[in-house]
Amino acid sequence: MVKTLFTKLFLTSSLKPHLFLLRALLWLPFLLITWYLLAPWLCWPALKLAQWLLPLGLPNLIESTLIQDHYLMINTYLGTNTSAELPRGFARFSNDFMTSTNLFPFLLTVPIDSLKYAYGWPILVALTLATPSTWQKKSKTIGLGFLLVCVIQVWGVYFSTANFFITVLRPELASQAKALWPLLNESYMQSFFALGYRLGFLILPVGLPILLWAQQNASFVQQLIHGNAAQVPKPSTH
Amino acid sequence: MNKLKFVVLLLLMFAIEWLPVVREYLITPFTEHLAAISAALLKLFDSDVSSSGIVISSLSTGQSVAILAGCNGVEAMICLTAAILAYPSSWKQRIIGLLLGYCAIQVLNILRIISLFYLLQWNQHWFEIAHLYVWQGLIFLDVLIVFIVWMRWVNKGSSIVPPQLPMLNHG
Repeated sequence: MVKTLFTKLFLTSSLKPHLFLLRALLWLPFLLITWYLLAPWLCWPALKLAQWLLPLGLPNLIESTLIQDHYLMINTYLGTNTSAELPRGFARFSNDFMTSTNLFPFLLTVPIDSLKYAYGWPILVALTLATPSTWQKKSKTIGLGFLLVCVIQVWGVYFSTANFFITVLRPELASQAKALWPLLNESYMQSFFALGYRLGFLILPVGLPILLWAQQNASFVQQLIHGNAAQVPKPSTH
Repeated sequence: MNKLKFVVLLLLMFAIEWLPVVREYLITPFTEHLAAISAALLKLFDSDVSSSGIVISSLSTGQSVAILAGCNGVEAMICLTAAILAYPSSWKQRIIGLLLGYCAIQVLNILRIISLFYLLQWNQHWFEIAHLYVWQGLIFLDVLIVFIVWMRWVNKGSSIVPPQLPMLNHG
């Protein structure tokens, strides 16, 4: 009986939507836990790309960046005279305060959580594993999904950093940011960063992976919609 | 489904939702009602709960959850609206799909708010994980389920002949 249930849930190429969704939901907890445990490795490629792109996209604002687990620690040039003026836990002592023209002894470090933009991948994998197709096709979808999620993470990290400079910081620090990169003063740029942040946080992380799954399994989606179970082949292994 | 229409509608509604006037007169009151409904449900079996505006608090621990933009399910409703409007169907079918879809999204969203409220009382770390990584995805999975079920219903009621479908292998 257990074997029959297992076969029905994980192996047969049933096209009934409820069974497909049940399969996806059964995969999901295991995949979410695995994804969370492997997060530092899975996020590394996206964070490396973000490390390279961020100083180009936010000129004059970033001194250096550092990868810590699934966080990108962004060392900015924004500073204060006391650490209490910076958000708690976000301050670092300026290394070259004594020897350079740097005005501030304490500088702002912004930790950006890249995992907030990557949770679509376990959902994509769950949908893909629940979809009846060959292992080659599943691997291709999962691989493409990983690349897509890397791009979404870079988008998310970039726009959340930019949005942080404009809307989250105290007025004095935001003024410093605007002085270092005057384009931040423009209202259209502020709107652009706010919209990019909201898209990157609310829609793209899971919307795009689901669209990728639907695009890669278009014929299966058609069968789910039309309920054309008569054309389901007998199960075979690949 | 007309993909271009879907993307244009999605971005358009997303931009409209962001307008201050829409936020003030539509999104904020909606979010407050959502918080009130969640709090009322919580109070049915837990007298330790109080609510004010978009904030639900525990009287004993003093911990609160605030329902902000992104936590009210509006973005999921926008995605569903764009998908349903971009799919060829009658207006009656669309309206039925949207109303039932919104209900499905908000029922799950209220479940999310209640579960997150109790998760916060228990453990901050697990609250963050569930809030940021788990529930957000589940809400959108709910949108996908609603959309698939609605498309099946639309196609059952229409005389559209499904295309010849290729053979599928299982994995």
